[in-house]
Amino acid sequence: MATAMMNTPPHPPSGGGRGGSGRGHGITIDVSPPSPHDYIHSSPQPHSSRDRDYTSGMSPGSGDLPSPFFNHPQLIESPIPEEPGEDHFGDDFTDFPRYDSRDIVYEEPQRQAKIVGERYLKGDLLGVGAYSKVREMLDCVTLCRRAVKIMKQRRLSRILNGEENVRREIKILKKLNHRNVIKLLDVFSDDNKQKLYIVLEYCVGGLQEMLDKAPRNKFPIWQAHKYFVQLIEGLEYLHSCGIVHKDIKPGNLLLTTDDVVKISDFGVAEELDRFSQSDRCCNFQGSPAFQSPEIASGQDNWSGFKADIWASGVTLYHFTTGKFPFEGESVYKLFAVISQCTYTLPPELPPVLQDLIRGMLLKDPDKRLDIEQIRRHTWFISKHSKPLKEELVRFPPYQDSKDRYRGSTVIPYLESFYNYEGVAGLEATGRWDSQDEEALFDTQESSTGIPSATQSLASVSHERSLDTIASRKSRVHSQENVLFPTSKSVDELGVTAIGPIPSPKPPKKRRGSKRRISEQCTHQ
Amino acid sequence: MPLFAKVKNPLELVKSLRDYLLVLEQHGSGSKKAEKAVEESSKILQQIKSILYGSGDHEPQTELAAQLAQEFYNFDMPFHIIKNLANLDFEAKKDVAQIFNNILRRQIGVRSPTVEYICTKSDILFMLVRGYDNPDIALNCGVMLRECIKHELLAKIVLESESFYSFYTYVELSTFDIASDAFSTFKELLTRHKVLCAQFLEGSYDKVFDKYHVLLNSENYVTRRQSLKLLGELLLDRHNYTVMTRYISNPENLKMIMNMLRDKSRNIQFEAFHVFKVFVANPNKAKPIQDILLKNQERLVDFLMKFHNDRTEDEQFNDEKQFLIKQIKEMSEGDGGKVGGAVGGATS
Repeated sequence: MATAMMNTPPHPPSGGGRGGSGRGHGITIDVSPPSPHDYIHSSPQPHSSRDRDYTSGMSPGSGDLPSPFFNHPQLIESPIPEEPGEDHFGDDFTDFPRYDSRDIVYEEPQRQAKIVGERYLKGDLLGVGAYSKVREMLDCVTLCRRAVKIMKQRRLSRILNGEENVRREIKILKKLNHRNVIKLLDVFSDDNKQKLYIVLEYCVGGLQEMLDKAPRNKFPIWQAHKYFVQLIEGLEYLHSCGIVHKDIKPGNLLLTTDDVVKISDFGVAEELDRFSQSDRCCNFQGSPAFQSPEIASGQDNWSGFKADIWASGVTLYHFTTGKFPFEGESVYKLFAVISQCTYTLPPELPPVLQDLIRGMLLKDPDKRLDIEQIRRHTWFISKHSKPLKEELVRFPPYQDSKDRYRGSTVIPYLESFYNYEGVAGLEATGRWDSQDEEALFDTQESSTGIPSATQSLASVSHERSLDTIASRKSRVHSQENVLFPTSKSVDELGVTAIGPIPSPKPPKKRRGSKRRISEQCTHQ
Repeated sequence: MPLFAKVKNPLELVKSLRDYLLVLEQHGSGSKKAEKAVEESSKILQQIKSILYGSGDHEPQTELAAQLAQEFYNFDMPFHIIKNLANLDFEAKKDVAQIFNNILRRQIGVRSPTVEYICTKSDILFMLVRGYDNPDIALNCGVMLRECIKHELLAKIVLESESFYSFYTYVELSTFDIASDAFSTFKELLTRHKVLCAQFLEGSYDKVFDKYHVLLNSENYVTRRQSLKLLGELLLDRHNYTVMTRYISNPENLKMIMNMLRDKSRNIQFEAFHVFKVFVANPNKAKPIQDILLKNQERLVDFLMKFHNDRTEDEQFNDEKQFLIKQIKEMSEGDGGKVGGAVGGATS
């Protein structure tokens, strides 16, 4: 913003101030010293307040208010060709940013509000795994945040045992119901797209990513205790249901917004025969670093429950030291180390905790602690209160966003959803059909009759600018159409258009190269 | 709190609360004195609560809370309060439950002093159980009791006492909310501490399940349905493996469950199905069980073919049903033990 102000012509042509100059109203207005007009229509500090508004998005109340007023002038503007835009920009605008229309078009499809499964509004991608993509979605019926695993049939069939694993995972998840186990809420498929959607409870993130960003890659003891207790609660439940998880590790322990640990990823879990008394297992697909000596040394079969205990022991070790008890350059070497079961515990760990970890990492599975013994262990039942000065390890913000609370990524889509509905021509379709983006544009086209490329931009701008919430529908529409013909205006409008999206980035009106904008778009 | 009133310290609070409770005990309700005592104890309880939980802008006062807990043990307050609970007014009863639970959760390092205290005063637990007898305090007692049995030591005391069996009557009480509350405590007792519960069920198998059958045959629909569901959960929990094998080898149990398959309520039929499947899927069926299934082979197959066919969306149920039909069809004299073959997944 500072640069912008410096480059601002000291006195904008007063007559044209508002209505003048091409379009870029977002930009022009923004960089000019506020004209009297501004003072009438916008808050005393238009720049900063609007910036905040754009970054935080839907925040109801104060932030939203100024923008419709503020953007109002743009709507009554006359088309560019008639205006001496250059005069207005003047020589001082040498570093006026130009954004290539491609960049904006590029970002646009991502912001398209889309509903799948008749009730889930798509948000951003949360992660990509071997089997699936995971997307945040908003359940439009309950208004709960959800994580949805999306699997492509084609991809699944290429993975060994892929479909079978998924089928087993769903079957197992369906019968589980425990506070510390991820809940399956819905499964549906889209046969046309050959996609399978698995709707799960929403979790903010995994413990592994917290550890990765934590100082010395470990949790403070009390925090480790808090999570470990929940892991054991969940594990006890799983074992009572005859489920061997086989892949317990920090990466598979997710955390909800209220700090509840959820054991997730049952991709390699095994369900025991109800009538066999033993818990023998004979195949493993879990992560090598968490495998127990009996698995690493290649025994034919082993106690599944005790193997889960071992993995939990390694997990606890990792929680509290930030390291792994066993390491090796290759899986082969790693397994050799694990089979010997020699490891060291950092002396700074409290002796009780060392005792617990040793008990869980006993080579002989029969001597290894069972869940009951862990639950009775002194370290487990002790109270570990948070020392006042000690910092809690938190989630790192999503990628390069600054939102350390990891707010919902669905909001921008939701915003576009409603803005869009405010636009003329859409009432006819009402809530548009979920899957069909094309249909969306068709309806628009038929109502306006302008070429579709421009049209899609028009719709972007409609969706984006909060001012479309105001009800000046048809007029807005026709004027926007006129505003679009030149590529320059399209570019600039695009810039205005993305403004209102609550994105973690600085508002687009700030000076920045077009490259930066496009990068930001991809990160989204 | 009055502006200039002297703020009492924990010792004074506890002492005066005890005195008022004594008055209540001696005078019964109705008298002038008792009324005053009720009023005053409500005030004291409020003050105690605000020490433990904080109030308005004030944070809980940790040091005072520690003192308070200590005085509670010294003066046997949990015992006296619960004994006189019925005499207190409505809000005060709720405060008591909150105070009790807060003090119960106290932990010093590995120790839970309140749990240790209650272990030596197990009467407190039995008074709480008996609380279900009095509708005025039943729900408050339920809240406190459930907090108690979160601790294995305390749950053990209740399970091993005769008072556990009074739950069999409480869950059938005609007041719906009290019966439900009692049932959730009952369920918690039987499921919360897996190993303890398994030991208890094995040890007291006959007594527990004899009485349990009364619940399963109750006139009360809710009791019948809830207890059947809980039975399914108990049998399907791996910790109760021994209990399950014992249960599913008794032909009387099978007969009862088969009758429930034909209950007039569809929900009960459905719950019964989930117990019935365990009998059929068992690869090592006892002879009497085989006999019953064989005798009814055709009728069972017919019945299952028509059983809840409208549950098309429940894949797992349909898989299981098909599996059972197959199992029963393939049964024949003499090979009973073998039919269960590769049951595992399909039965759970």
